[in-house]
Amino acid sequence: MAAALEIAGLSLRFGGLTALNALDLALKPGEAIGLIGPNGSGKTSLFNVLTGHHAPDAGSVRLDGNETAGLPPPRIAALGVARTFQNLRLLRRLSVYENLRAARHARAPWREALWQTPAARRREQDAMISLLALFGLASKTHEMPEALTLVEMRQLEIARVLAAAPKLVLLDEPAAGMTPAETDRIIRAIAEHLLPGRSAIVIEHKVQLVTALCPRIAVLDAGRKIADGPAAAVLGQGEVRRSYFGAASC
Amino acid sequence: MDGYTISVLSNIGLFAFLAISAWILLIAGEISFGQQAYFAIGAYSGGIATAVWQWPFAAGVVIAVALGAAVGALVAWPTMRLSGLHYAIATLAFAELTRASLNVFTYRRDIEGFATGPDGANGFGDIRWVYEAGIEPGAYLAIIAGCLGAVIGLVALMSYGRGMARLRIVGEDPILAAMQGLSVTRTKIAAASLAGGIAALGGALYAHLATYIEPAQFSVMTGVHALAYGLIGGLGTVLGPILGVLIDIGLLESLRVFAGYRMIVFGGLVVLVLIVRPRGLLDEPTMRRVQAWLRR
Repeated sequence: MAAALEIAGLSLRFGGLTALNALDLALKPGEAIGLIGPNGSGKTSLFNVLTGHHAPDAGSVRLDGNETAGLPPPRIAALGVARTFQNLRLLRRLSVYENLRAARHARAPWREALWQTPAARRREQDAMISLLALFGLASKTHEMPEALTLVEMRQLEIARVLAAAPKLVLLDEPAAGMTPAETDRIIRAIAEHLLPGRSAIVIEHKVQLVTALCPRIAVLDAGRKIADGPAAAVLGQGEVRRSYFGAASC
Repeated sequence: MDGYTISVLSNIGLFAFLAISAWILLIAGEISFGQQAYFAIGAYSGGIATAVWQWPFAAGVVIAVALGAAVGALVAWPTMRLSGLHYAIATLAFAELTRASLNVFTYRRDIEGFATGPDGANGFGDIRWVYEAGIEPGAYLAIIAGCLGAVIGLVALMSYGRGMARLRIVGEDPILAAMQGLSVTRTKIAAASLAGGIAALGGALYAHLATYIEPAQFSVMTGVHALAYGLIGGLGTVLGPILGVLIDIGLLESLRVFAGYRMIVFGGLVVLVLIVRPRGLLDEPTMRRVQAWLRR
């Protein structure tokens, strides 16, 4: 089967700093891969290139056969890439509902900027509220994001990814700062609603989450891929343990 | 209504166009010190259309709005690459360039034995449509109110549809907006075009009320006021900039309590509001509470 995502020779440099160094990575359709590695190893930089926020210095990114490297973010989003953010990126001046709806504006025709029929607006409202209900957020529809707990904010970001109906999902530390119980809730939400039928890359330090969601794991170190394979095998490798947990733990 | 009330209300209405124009760009995340340029473009083009070309008033207004919107988009195309302070300075420079150009812009034709049209720094008089058509000040106030109502209605439609949400998303977080598939550049150009058209509409109405316009009327201070109205009144609703105009012209200028000290009081008020409520009196949380109350 053709790869859903094929990254080849991808390099990204900031002046003298090499964030990504000739990275190769391929995802089969519907496959979820865990991306781990020490801080500064290039995980988030990869997401920034995949979403078009940074243009790579070399290499190619093919999404369902379309070259996306260097395209502007809106074009890449239109091809079906959506992400969450490590530090949460919600619009704090807009309601929960408008935060979710933000994912829908781009695919709507321009005339809807001026005129959305009441029926279309109701349909969209129903769709958004049932999406919020999946994450237990329906009662918060008209709240501001600041009224949400950390877990709810993450779930809203995940719901926003879902609202964009993407083909490729990029999750950047979806359980950062969460207790084990909260992490469980997030794992369930992602596994039940987000992953089915989509390819995904999940950046996460929590082994609990990565192994629960991703049968396959790739490890980055200093912008290079140092391991890639079945989760159990990769986590057991010496080089991975050294770069990830430090030499002392070997 | 007595003549004085009518003239104050007309003034409030005319400044409201300029204030809404600057407010739209504030929502889209840009600070413009140059919306007075579009007010001037509207005033001059509308005046030329009716006084020099002898077009009907409505056609003059339409051409003014079209020109304001077109120039707004054209200026936005290169300047939208800038942001924050750089954009503010670029808009200021464009407005001053417009004013300086009007100072040397002469376009006069013989209309019924009189040379009519803009005459550089000497200004542009005899924009007499209101007298020729026999429009009373009260009726002209109704025209202003009708046009302002149309602009508020347009913003209301955009709030109901996706337009205002798009502007607010791009204004708050352009990087996120782009990742949600929204073209930041196109959205901002559309906002600048809309803002240009609205300011030009106010300008065309102003020219026909004043009957005499000159480049000096469209100075930086006019633009700074327009910007301050939105910041005082609030960024949560289109009624915010109108509230700002009401506070400045309706209260400070008209009540004469602060006669002579108006600019000092107004300046102090701007500083105070920016410290206490950075996004104005009718800011987003306030509007959220109003909406929640309305839903009950």
